[in-house]
Amino acid sequence: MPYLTDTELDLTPKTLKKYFVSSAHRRYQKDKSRWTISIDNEIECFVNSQTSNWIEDLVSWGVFQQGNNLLNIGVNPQRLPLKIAKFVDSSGDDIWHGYPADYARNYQDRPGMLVLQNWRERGIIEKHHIIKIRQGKECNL
Amino acid sequence: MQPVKITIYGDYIDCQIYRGRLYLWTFDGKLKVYKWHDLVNSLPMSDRDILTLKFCFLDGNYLYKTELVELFEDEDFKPILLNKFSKAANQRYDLTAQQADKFLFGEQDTPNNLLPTDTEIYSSKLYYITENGLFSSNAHRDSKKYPVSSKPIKLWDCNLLSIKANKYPQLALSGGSEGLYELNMSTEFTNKWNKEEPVQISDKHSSFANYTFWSIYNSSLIDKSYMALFNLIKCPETAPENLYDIYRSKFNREYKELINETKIFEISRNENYLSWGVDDKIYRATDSGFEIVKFNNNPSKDKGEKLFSPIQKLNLHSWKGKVIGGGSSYFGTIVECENALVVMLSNGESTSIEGPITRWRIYPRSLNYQNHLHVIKDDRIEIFSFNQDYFLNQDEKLLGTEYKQKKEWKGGKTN
Repeated sequence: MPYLTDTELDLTPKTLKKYFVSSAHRRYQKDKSRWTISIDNEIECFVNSQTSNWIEDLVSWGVFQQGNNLLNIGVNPQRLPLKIAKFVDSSGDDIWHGYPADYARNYQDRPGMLVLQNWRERGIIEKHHIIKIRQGKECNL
Repeated sequence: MQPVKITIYGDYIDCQIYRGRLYLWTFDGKLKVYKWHDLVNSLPMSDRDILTLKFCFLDGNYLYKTELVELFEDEDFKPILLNKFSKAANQRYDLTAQQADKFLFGEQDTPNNLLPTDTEIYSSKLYYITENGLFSSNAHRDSKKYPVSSKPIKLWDCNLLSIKANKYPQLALSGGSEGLYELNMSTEFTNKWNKEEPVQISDKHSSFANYTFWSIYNSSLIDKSYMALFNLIKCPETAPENLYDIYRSKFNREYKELINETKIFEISRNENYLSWGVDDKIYRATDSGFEIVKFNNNPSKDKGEKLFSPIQKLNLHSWKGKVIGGGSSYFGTIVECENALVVMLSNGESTSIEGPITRWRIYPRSLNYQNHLHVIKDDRIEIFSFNQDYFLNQDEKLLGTEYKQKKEWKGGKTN
């Protein structure tokens, strides 16, 4: 059954966290990034983020891989491709939503060091990407 | 002239050099502090190379001394010294992590157990940023267990992108979309900017910043770069009683205005290229090369001097990927591209350091390491020493910061 947008989704048994597919990040808006992967893949990215424990308090981070490659997951308002997903539990009630993070333009869209170190250890990114992401510099992820 | 290089293998994420100690942050969360002089003196060298390596890695300021200028202009002597540097450049100085560890002063866990996004050391204090904020710790301590204090002080909780300190000390703080801030801890300047908390200078995007004398050049990878111009005005209430007081008197550092790069580079079109500034020069990397503007922080109107004077446009072959950073020291200007570092030397030559590059650092405000370029790669740190700048006329060179002799106090009491 296809997932619905703007509805609280129960993802058990994959994760006990609930997920809300925000339609605001699925259509063009001048100040918001937009998913370009399917809703199924957005949810898979979220589940992977949670089960991999790429979590910092009420924020978690995700990527979408095909083999060793990181795929584009969305675009920013300037239509530039984005590869890192940010998920937030805004109210602290275990209902999460997410959007493609623009680490180069928004200072709060940068994963912390522990998540980035874990990504390097898993071969998702290389060491030089870590500092570039933390310093908001574009790089070929 | 090729640089001289020391390579230390290991998995590093950051580095600093300060007062005879090399600081290396390892990827597994350690901070290793090395006795730099001992490490350099251990390198395989003949007696004839000892002096050269000292100039290269331990005392980069020595050859800038005024007394030596005449010597470097001597047609017989100059080639002898150049030859010594060339000979050292042909040597390999490689150390494994285990070999380097013989010269450890101390090793400790990284303060806060979190790898830093950026670091600076000034006045025996380590400043560093993580996603949890801006911190400072006492550095250059006698303790071998904790060469850097393990009890850092949190100065601010903003999740910054980069920091840059100068000697006063002042810290320029780049907050990305949060803008440019400054933490002014100077005791020499008194004004409204001296606060215990950082003060926002501009809400415009800031990727990294550097001091152009007492002003700040803010570089943005997203938006237009700009200079935050400050003037230095002597405090009337601290009228000196003697010459010593003149030397020590306090100044007001007054904010004047933000000057957009479009005005500095006289750009008419809506171009977006990265520019950066350090002290007397501002650089802009375009698709076709390089533009340089001379910054005069104290122009004389009577002499018709301007704040900004274009001095050169260099046409170059294309950069190695998008330009994402830049810096300048006396020996030249560094252009950080996605896939390499390009070092534009002060004598007009250039050299490329192939990537991927995790981090690079220069130390133009240090006392002894102005000729260093440290480059961290995936499995090593390469410590380069560039030595062509001693032989150049500092007033006339196009690339690299102009070296000016430090003013020495002559007469009166000194502490």
